[in-house]
Amino acid sequence: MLRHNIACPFCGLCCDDLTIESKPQQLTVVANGCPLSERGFSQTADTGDRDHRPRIQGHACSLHEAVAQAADLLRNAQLPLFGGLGTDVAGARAALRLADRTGAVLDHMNSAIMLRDLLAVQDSGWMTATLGEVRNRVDLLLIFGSDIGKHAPRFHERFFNNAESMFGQDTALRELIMIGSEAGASSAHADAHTTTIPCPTDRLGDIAMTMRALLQGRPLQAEDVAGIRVAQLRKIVTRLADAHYGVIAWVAAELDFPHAELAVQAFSGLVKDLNTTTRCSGLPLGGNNGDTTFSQVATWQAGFPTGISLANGCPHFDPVQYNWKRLLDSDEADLLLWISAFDAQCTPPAGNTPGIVLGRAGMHCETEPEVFIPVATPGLHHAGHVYRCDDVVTIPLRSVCVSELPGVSTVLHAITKSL
Amino acid sequence: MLIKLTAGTVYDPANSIDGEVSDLYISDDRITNNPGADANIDQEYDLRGMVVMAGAIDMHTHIGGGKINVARTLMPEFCRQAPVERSALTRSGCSKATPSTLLTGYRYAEMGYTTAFEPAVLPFNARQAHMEMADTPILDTGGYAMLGNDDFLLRLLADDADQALINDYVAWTLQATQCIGIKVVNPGGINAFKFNARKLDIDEQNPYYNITPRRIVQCLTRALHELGVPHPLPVHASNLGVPGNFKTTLETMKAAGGLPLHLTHIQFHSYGTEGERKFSSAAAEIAEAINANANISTDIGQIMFGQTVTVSGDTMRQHANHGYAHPNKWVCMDIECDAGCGVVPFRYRDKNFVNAMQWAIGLEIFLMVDDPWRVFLTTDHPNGAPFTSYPHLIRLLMDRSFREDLLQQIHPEAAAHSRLSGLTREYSLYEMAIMTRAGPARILGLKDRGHLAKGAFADITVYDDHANRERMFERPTYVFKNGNLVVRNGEICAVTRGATHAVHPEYDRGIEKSLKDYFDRYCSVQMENFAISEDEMIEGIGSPVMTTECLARGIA
Repeated sequence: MLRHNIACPFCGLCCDDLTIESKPQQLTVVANGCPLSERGFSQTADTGDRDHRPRIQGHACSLHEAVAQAADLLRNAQLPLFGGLGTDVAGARAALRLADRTGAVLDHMNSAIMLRDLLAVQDSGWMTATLGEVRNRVDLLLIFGSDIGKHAPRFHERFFNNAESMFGQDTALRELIMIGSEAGASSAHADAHTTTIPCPTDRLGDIAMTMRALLQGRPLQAEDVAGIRVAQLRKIVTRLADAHYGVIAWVAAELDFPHAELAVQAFSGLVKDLNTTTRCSGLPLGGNNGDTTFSQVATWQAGFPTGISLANGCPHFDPVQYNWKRLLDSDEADLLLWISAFDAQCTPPAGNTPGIVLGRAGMHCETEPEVFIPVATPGLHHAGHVYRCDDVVTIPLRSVCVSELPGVSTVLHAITKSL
Repeated sequence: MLIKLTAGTVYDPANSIDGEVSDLYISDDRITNNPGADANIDQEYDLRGMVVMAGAIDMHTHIGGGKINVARTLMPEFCRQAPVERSALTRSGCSKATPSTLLTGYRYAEMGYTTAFEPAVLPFNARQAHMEMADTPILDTGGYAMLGNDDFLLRLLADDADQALINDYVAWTLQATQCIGIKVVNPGGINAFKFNARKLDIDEQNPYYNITPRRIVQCLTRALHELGVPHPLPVHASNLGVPGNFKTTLETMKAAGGLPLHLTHIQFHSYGTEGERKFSSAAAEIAEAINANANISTDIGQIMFGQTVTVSGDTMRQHANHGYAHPNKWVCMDIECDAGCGVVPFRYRDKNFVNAMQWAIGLEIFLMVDDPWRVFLTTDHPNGAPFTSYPHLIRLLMDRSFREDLLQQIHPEAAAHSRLSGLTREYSLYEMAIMTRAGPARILGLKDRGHLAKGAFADITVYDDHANRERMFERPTYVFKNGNLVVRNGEICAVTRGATHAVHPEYDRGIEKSLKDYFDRYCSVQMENFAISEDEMIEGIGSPVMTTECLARGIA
C-alpha cells in the first residue's frame, strides 16, 4: 500500500512529503526520500521473536514483567540517569513525568551538540528564520561549515534550489558561499553563483568575528585570518550587506571543537549586526533522534532544554555536571534508562551501570541491560509529533504500518504507574 | 455528586447579582437549582461571610506557543531563581516571569482562574501552542490565530479578492488551528519588516503588497463579523511603544467602521509627545474614544515594576526596541511567511520616567473607561508583568489610598504629569467580577462560563472578604473547576485537566483548492499535515475541543 504526505523523523528537516510503500515487515521510501529517510524507514524493524519481546537479564519476558522490573530498579536507584531520549513529544512528556517522580537526571544523547546552539542563545540570543521563510526569501546563503547535505540531505533541493519562490525571485540566481573544511561538498550545486572557501572548522568563529569587525568598520592589521585573505572576507561582508535577505547557516554537529558555542555566538552576532541596515537571518540546521523535540518539551515542562537534574525535587540545570557521559564515566549515576526509538544503532555505552533500555526493535546492546523493552518507532508504527530544526514547526507523524510494539510513552506511563 | 455552597455573598454580574447572600448547588460538573429539601447533599461548604464569584477568565495571556518557550530558553536565570519542588500532587517546575506550563496552571488556579486564552497563536505553530496549553493543568484554554501578516491573506488583498474568499480563509484557519478567535499583530508590519521596513503606520503601504494596515484591520473585522465569530478582532495596533502612537490607536478604532473591535494591551498604544521629554500620557484621549464608541473593547496590558521578558509577534517593534533589552540579549525570528516572534527581556523601574509613566497610563485608562464590560484586566503576561501580579493590580484599582501611596514612590515628574492622583474611582467587587469573569465570557461567546446560573459549568471561586484586596485575590479559600474542588486555602488540592475552546464557523471548502496550490508551491509543510483534527487534539496533543457556536451573518 502506498501512503502519501508522510513525515520523516530522521533528520531536523522533518520533510513531510514522502511516499512510503508499506508491506508486512517492510517499509520503503518510494518518493522524496534521502539516504537518512531510506535508512530510517527500512532499518530492521522486525527480525524475529527475540527482538520483539522484552527481556530481563537477557531472558525473554512479558511486557508486564519488564515494566515491573524497571519500576523496581528505578525505585531503588539513588541517582537514575535518563539518557538517549530519542523519542517524540509524547515520549518526552512521559520521560519528564517519570523523571520528576524518581528524581532523575535527564540529558539527551546529542546534548553536547545541542548546547553549542543553546548556550549561545542563553548568553546573547539570536535572529533566525524558519525553513519556509528561507525557501521564499534567501538571496544569499552563507554556510559556515561544509557538508550540510550530510546532516540535512534535502536542504538544497527544498529550501535553496526550489524552482519557485513567493516574491518573484529567480531562484537560479541565488548566491551560495561556503566557508569550511570540506567546502565544495556533495549536495550543493557548483556553478557561477557558488563560492567555496576552505577553512579549518575550529577557525570559523574567528572568520565570523573578523567579518563583524569589517562590517563595523574597525581597523584590522591582519591581512589574512585562518588562511583567508581579509580582502576576500571584506567582499563577502559587502555582499551580505547588499543582499536583501541573507541567510547564515551552520550545523552544530559539524562544530566539533571546544567551546564551539562561541563560534555560534559569533555567527549570530554577525547576523544581528547585518540587520542594522538590511535583513539577514541565522539558520541553525541539523538535529536528529528527537533532540529538538526533547529540548522543546523539557523547556516548557522543566524550564531547561537538557542537562536537567530533578534529584533535589525541582529542576536544576548544569550542562557540565549533568552531562550523561560524565555521569556514567564517574559512576555517579547508578541506573541508566536509555531511550532510542528512532535508531536501533544508537545504543547505550557499554559499561557497568545497570540499564533499562527502551530501544527500537532490532537494537543490540554491547552489554545486555537489566531490562530491555523493544519499542515502536514514532512515525512508522504510531502517530506522534516531532520538532523541526528551526524550533518552531511541529510535524505530525503518522502510523504507516501495524506494530504490536508499545510506544515509549506507553511503556514509561506503565512504569510510572508501577512505582 | 451534589454539592451545596451555603450562604456565600454572590457576585454574578451576568445575572445582575450584586452581593446577594444565597446558596449555590453543584450537580456533577454544572451549577443547578435548589434540588429541594429532600435532596441528598453529598458535601456542604459553609460560605457565610465569604465572597463567591465564577472562576476567573484571562482573555489575553501568553501561555502557549513558541515565543514563551523561546523566552524560557533565552532566560534560564528565571528558572534558576525560582525553582519549585514537586509535591505528592503537583509536578516540579519553575516560577518567575515565564513559569513552566505546569506551574502556570497551578498558579492560575491558586488565584481563582479557571480559563485562559493565548492571544497570539502562529498558525504554523498552533500544535505547539495547544501542546503547551494541554500541559497547563486545571485550566481550560484557547488561542487566537494570528493573521494579517501571512502572505496568503496579503496576496488575497493585493489581488482585491472578494470578501467571501477572505471569510473562507479566516474560517479555514480557525478550523485548521483549532482556535477561538483571530488576532492581528502590527497589521502588515511584521511582513513589512521582512522586506526591511522599520516602521509602518496605519495608512502606510506594505512595501511589497501596497496594502495598508487599515485595510487589513477592515477586512478581518468584517470577516469575523460576517462569520459570526463571537470574539471581535483583537488588534495589537501599529507603532507599539512609539511616542505619539495614540493617534494611530484612534485611527485603528475608526478602521473598524463601527463593527466590534478589541484593542489589546492598549497601555502600550496610548502615548503622547507632550512635555520636555516628548513622552506623555494620552490615556484621556483613548478613554474618551472608548467611552464614545460602544463597538470598542480593550484590555490594558498594565505594567508592574520589576524584571520580566517581553514576547511578541511584532518583530518590527521588538527589533526596534532591542536596545532596551535588560539583560542585553534578545531573539527575533521570521516565521514561515506567517508572522514572527520577538523576545526582549525588560526591567521596568519605578524611578525611570518612561516606565513610571507607563505604569500610570495603564491605571489611568482602567479608571477612566466607564464601562467595565469593555475593559479587561490583563498585564499582557509576561509583557507588562507576570500574571501573578494580578492581585496587586486589583488592589490598585479597588483601593485609592494604596494607589496614592505607590504614586508617591514613582519618578516624581511622572507622578506630577499623571492625572492619577485626581482619579478617585475605586472598582467595586461587582465591577471586578465583570472585568475578570462575566466580561471575558461574554466577549468570547462562552455561554456556560463566567456566571453562576443553572446550567453553567461549576467553575467557582470563593474568597475570604479580606479588606486588603491583594490578599483576598491572591489566596482564594476554595476554587472549583467543573465541580471539582481543586484549590483549598490557596493551595492545589486536586489536579484536573482542561479542554480547548474553539470555534468552527461554516465555510466553502473550495478555498482548499487555492490553499493546496499555495502550500505546494511555497510552503515547507504539506497542507494535509498543517490542519489539526479534533482527534489529534485529543490523542496526540492532549486537550479535547469544546466548540462555541458561530451564528453566521452572511456577506454584507
